Amino acid sequence: MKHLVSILDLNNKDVNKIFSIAKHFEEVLERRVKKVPALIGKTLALLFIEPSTRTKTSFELAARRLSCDTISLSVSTSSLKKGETLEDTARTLSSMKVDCAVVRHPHEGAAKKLASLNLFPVINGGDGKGEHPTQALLDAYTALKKLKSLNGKKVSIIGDVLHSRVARSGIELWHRLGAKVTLVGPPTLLPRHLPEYVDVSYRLDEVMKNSDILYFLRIQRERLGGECLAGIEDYRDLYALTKDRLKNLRRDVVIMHPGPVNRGIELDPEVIYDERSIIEEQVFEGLSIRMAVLTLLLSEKGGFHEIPA
Amino acid sequence: MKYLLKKGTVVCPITCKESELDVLIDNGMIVRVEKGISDKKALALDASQCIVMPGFIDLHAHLREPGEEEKETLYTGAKAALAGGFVRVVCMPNTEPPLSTSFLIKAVAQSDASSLFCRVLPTGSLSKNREGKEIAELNLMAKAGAVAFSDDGSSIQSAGLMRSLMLYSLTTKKPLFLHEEDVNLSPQTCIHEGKASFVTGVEGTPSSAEAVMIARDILLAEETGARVHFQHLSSKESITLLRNAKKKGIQVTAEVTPHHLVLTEDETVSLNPLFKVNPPLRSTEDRNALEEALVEGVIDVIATDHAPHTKEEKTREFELAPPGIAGLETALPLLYTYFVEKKIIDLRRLVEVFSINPAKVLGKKVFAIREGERAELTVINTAESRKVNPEKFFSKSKLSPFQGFELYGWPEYVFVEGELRFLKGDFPLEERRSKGVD
Amino acid sequence: MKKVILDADAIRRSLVRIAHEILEKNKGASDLYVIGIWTRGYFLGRRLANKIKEIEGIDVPVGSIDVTFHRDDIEIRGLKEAGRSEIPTLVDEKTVVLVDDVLYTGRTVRAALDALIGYGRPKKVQFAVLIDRGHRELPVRADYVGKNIPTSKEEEIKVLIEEVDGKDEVVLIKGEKK
Repeated sequence: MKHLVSILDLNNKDVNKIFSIAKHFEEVLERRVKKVPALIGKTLALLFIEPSTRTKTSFELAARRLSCDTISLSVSTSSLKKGETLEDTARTLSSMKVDCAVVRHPHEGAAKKLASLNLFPVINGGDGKGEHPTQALLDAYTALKKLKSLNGKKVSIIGDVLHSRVARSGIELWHRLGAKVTLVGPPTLLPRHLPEYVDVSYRLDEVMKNSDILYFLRIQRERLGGECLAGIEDYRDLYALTKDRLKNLRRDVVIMHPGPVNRGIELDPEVIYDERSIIEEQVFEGLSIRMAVLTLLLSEKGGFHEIPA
Repeated sequence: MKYLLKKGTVVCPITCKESELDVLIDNGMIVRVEKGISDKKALALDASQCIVMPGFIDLHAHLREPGEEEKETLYTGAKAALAGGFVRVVCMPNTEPPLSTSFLIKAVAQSDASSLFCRVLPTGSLSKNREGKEIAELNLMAKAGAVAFSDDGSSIQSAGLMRSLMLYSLTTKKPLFLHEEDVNLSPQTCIHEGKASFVTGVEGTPSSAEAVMIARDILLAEETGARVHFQHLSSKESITLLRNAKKKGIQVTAEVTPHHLVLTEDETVSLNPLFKVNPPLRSTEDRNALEEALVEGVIDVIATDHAPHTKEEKTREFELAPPGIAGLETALPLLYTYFVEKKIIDLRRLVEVFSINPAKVLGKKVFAIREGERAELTVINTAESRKVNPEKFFSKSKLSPFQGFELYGWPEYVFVEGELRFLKGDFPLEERRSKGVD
Repeated sequence: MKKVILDADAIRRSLVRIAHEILEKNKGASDLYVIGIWTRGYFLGRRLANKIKEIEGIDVPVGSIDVTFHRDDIEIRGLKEAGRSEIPTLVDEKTVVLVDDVLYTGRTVRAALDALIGYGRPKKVQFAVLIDRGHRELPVRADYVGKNIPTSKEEEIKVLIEEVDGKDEVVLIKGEKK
């Protein structure tokens, strides 16, 4: 049995396969009946131990488009403070003959723990500051569709990289697809001891002209004051894509954001609907990528890596 | 306007000059530096008993505006700094309210006094409102004109916040000026723990209160790569730490004040509040270590820590009087008389610690005396001595622990931004303005 | 053991006949819509549309449909690369002729019917195949058949076509008994 816990679970062949299947599902999503029976009779459990609207909705809809049943488990965080109870929940689900689970959890490593039980395929829907592999896949795929190739393209990831599971999965995937990654943010919110292939900048203005993709991360409001940041105004002056910066932006740049956007913090409202923004496309591809991942995990004997010719 | 400085001893480590030369200044620029210049259109200034040096910079002064204008204002502070021979003065943000927003920084940076006297360069607070809890808007303040960041007067107690501040400061490339004092070790009495505390019975501040924070911040500076400058070092332990850090190649710099170089705890035994400073005047051994570090180059900068107070406050009981002394107008003669005259340091070193190194700490272009440079000059008279008379200070604070000291090396002429702004006790620009000529 | 059942000429003749039958049954080519099942069904469908044009002078729209995600046996067969689904115009109120190379168990055409519903509501759906080899597992039959070839389950029918395989040929491969 195979899982999607980390982007490292996928080799390049897997990534290409996910992308090619996603392309097919894009077409399905444009049909009058936006549904195929590929996973009829299967059940996907949505195990969200941390609030999430986007990812959960996206997975749920993706499953339904594949005729896969879904069940949502609302488990309060308090009852799942210990690893054993998470395992108990998983075993209960397994007894109920659930075929696959998406896990969102506030603690890093939760999805891996669940996967290690090998009860059913586990998809990491975001674990603490750890990873968010399907987000990385959909981001890369959306950008790839727009730019045709990512080889040699310059991707700047802007914001609170330190606390971002999206960035952690993304850095690896962007790099693997041939893009050059630069992390942009206050040094208080950038990871230290980075791999050599990652560049760092402390000012958005330094990288704007040279970036093909500007990927903005969501900044947690609670971090704006305190020991990491110096308030909204200072942050915006350094890192926000404001109306003014938008005026000086390259015509062919691509603007991305994993959502939900903090309007008026990392992006001005004008930016979201700018023609260079592909934020809405990201949401759309979220569905097709998650449909592809579910199909691969649930329909294949052996899942990834062991795809019959 | 043309000026001709005649027969001064020109000391400029940048151009390697140290000889009797004339300097011709035209339209603010140095146009010739050589022997025997004559130019009848130029206003001749006799410098035959003078030393002509690149303009001096004070990295550490409290100008009290806004909020405590009864102690000092930007106007009187900039004037006192100019009279003390300085062309630039960096003012600390412990005002009321503190210089913690870009708005206030801009107000200070654009002060009118800067165009009449010594140019005032503001420092923004490191932590928001100097509360030691959150990061202040360093980037916006830097854009508004802050040249450095400091919580001077207090010390960042949390190592976590200090590390964050160092990291965040990298967005601005500006240095952090650190007042180092662990409040868990310091009773903040401004009495050295040693002879002074023993004799007076006042609880003393041990040298370790400073040194442990220096040690911590050397480690953090090394880790983060931030530009750290230690303010007013007072103890031999701190010097040892600094010396080792520099040997290791860690990018830290440090300043020492004239009063810590000249005075010791012996002066505080009498509990005369005029000698109350923070950090406290320490032992003779400490003073000797500071002097040695000054000679050796471990100390980079002399800074005044000019901290004016009203007579009412400063003449209360030692315990109740605020720490700090007005130092802008005595720093240069003190250093000249006690160190250059006594041949402990030479003139080139004097220029280094007062002009070249402060400019480097700020990351600014150093001043030099050569053709094509704008005139930023500090010219001192070394032939005539004068007694320190605080009543004649241009600072609002008319008090000094050096009252009655007979000193050499008083400023004679000072050129700021190409203009002759100080001329033997007169302020030509101020006079012109008051006469309505501009 | 390989045996050629149809050569290029035989395939061409079969397609011409099927084209005539389609026109006859539907009384002309108006409202016709040829949809081939990806891959070989699509190319055979294109050829049929060309024949119809030759006979009637009418352009019949051609689409392709991929049934990968409509199959009921993904787990057994494994997931291959999905093909192309392209239905260029509306199928509503059209007479759709589904085209495939081989009719065997009937599972593919069932999946194709299922997929087709996703694009609209055709007036009628008919089914054309080049080879019907028997062994139905579902109650379906073809409206137009190129050639009926009784086979055993151990045997394999291979349809090669120019556009995909470089030549036109139908071969029967006798497998060993399992």
